[in-house]
Amino acid sequence: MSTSSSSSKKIVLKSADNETFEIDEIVALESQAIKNMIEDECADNVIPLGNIDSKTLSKIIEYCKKHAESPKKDDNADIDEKAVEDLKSFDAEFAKVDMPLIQDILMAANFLNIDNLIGLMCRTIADRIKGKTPEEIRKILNINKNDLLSPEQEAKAREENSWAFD
Amino acid sequence: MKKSKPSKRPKRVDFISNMPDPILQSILQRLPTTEEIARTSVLSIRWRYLWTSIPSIDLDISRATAFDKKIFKKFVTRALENNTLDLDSFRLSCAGYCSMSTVSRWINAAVTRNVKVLDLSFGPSDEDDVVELPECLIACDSLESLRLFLMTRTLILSNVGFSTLKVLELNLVELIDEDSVKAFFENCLLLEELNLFDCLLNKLETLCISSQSLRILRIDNRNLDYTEDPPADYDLKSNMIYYDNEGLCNSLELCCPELVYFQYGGHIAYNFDFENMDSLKVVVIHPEDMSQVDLSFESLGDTICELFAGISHVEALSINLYFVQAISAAHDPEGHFPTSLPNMKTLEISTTIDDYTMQAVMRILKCSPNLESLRLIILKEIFWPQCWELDEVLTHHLTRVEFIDFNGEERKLAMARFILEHANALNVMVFIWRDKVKYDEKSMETMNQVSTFHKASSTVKVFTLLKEQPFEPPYKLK
Repeated sequence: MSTSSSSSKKIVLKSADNETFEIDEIVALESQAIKNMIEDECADNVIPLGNIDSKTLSKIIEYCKKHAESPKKDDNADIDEKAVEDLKSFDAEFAKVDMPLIQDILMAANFLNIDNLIGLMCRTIADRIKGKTPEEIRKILNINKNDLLSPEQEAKAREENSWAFD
Repeated sequence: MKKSKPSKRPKRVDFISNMPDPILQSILQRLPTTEEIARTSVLSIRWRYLWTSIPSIDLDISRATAFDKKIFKKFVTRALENNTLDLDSFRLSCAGYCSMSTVSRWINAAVTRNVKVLDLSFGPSDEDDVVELPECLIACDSLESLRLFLMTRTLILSNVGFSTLKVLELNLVELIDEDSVKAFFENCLLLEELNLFDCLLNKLETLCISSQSLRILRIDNRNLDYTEDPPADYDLKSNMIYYDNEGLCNSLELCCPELVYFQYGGHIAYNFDFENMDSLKVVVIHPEDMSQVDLSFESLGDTICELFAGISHVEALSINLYFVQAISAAHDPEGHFPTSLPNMKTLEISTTIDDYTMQAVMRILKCSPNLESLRLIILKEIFWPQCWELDEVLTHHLTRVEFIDFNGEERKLAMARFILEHANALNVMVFIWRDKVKYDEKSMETMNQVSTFHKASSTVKVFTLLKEQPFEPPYKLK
């Protein structure tokens, strides 16, 4: 059950398009789902991720690597502060991708249960729709036209919440 | 490695709407206001009622430019009543536009939804300016944190305290009747943090806070506006409050055996009675100009010495320039100034560099034989003091020195040099710059200069950092 005994242990992830990624176990452990699999000893050498394409997976690995490598809390406040700042700017850069990729990353992060990354993607989406009109938000989120409210329903929603629409 | 296929998803599916509720809620929760969250109700059928399941509500009447009080009231009621899920937090700001009975009804609705954090800003203009908290709120067993911003209205506190409340903040609240104030705090049995910000306490002769559970206490009125008369265009909607008296009581009595952190800022009392304060570790004292009070600077200095004596056992202390100036003006006939600050490990001082203030600073440093970390915020350099007699203090324990708002000034550098030459236990010296232009221009040069200084400690590391945001008091103390 021990997962920390061999720090250089490798895990292989396989994407939907059959690309394989060999990573350190410590990096894979950023995913709660993979961590559970390893702890329950039901992870084979290769973990197939049938619903995540290679482009998304490589982004996710990039994120997990950075977060796994980032120094954890210790006594040196100056280094801590630098590490926190460093991670913040990494996250900001990481999120500078287009909406379809953000959505793919969010879905995959949700599947792999990587809390920080889910939070980062939700924050990014929130930032992009902040201050926008409903029409603009529909475009940004690519909301399906078939799912829209009827004009009557929309009028009712606006009337009910008229304070928010003024 | 690989090229993304541009035509992989020719017709993008609406992924976001297909995500589980917690994800969509997590996105909505990151929008700043309930108004903005509620606007997502028209996005699509999936989003229609999602906003009502967000466990925090944040509404502010002043967000609308031209507003209708009725529509606001209707919406607050809706936001509170169209779901029965537990509420993590309810924040409401309605200035002087809603009556106490309306606000009470909303409080009641929030209590019904087991609210944990309540943040209310209002100043009912009806009746007699007196606010009494509804009984259901006092008895509420989910409430953990309450913040009240009452636009100088009087708050009547009952002898019955909150049973579960951990954090209480009163902002611009007038307190009357010292006995019930005392009994109220005493009877909030789980209260861990109490903040009295800009409260009007002049109707109390003594403010007495006696609590078995309190760990953090802040009494600070540095933001009170002392303008005598409201201007002709005084607007209820603005947060500017005008009143024309001193605002503080004469005496402060504390009896808090669990208190760890104490912040005291603005106009301070004249007499102090501290009992059972052995747990106190971190203290921030930032008094403010009290010139409108009929009190000489010398006797103010004596008052501050008395206060200083009551906290001489702390481990971390932050003091401002006014504190430093006042103690150097003090006569201190009763000899309150502590002869020793035996536990002091971290000290933060805002000061000027001149003979007058440096004497006071040196006096404090001299009686702090175990000081490890010194943080200097030098506001002005007037002239270099004639003599420094700090060698003794500096050599023993001092391991860390920080210069806040350092911008390469000559005298600050001279001070750094003096410290480096004498502090043989020093591990770290940090220069924190505020001005980016100066930082880019001069920090390398400064570091080169520092590298030529003689250093008493062979292990000292010198850091230089840029931090453009000002340090907000109280500064973070370790």
